[in-house]
Amino acid sequence: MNRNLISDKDLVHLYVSGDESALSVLLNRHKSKIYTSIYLLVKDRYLAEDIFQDTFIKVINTLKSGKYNEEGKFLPWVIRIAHNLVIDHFRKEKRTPTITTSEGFDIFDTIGVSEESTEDKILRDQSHADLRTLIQKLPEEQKEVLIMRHYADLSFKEIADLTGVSINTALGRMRYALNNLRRMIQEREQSYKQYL
Amino acid sequence: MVQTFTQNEMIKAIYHELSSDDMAELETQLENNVEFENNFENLSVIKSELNKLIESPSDETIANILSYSARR
Repeated sequence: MNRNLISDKDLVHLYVSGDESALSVLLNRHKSKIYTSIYLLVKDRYLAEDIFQDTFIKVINTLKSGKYNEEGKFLPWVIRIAHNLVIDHFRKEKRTPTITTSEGFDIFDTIGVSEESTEDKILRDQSHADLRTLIQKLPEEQKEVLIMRHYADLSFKEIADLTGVSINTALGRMRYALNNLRRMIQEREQSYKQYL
Repeated sequence: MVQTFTQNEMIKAIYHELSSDDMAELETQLENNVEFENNFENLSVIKSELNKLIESPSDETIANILSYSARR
């Protein structure tokens, strides 16, 4: 059977019973969701890599010690671990995500863009950096739902359970987040046009 | 009776959390209500913009994790 068709739950069972390759499938399936969620919270690539690694060390330790609670789904569980590690990091640093200034943004990182000119790449990277900046300007509760739904791929029900609010509240926060982003993008475009 | 969809249900639709029956009704509303269609289109554009920010950890980090697991 193609391993990509096996459910998370079955892959966890395989891994716990000694099949190391099952972890590789789980990692490939969820790495972008988990990494992007961490990166948007900490705004620093190197720190995001460290927290991503620490998250999976906790995942591995829990699974291999037989302490994994199978009642929940795998991805929301991993996202919760990552989220807690991000909070721990900011507690240690005695600062909050909203006042973090490090972008960790490297415009000379050329991975995966071999066909692109340097100028196009700088423009694209700048556009992405602008969008990341706009996401950081959202109120915390809107940013949290946006990251959990869009990047971590959790359902609104799972987000409601994780954050202790109703599904309608989670949906409302997402709606405000998307509408606020649209408004900020329009305002940014208007201000650019004034300089042309 | 024609169902009227709320903004929250539009958000569910964009993230594929509406049932297929509700989705079919929502598509009817999109065809008959220009303002609703414009809102849906605008939110869909923002969603596709957000997709451009999706990134992955380095291969080295993945290798470190797999190596840790094999040693544990």
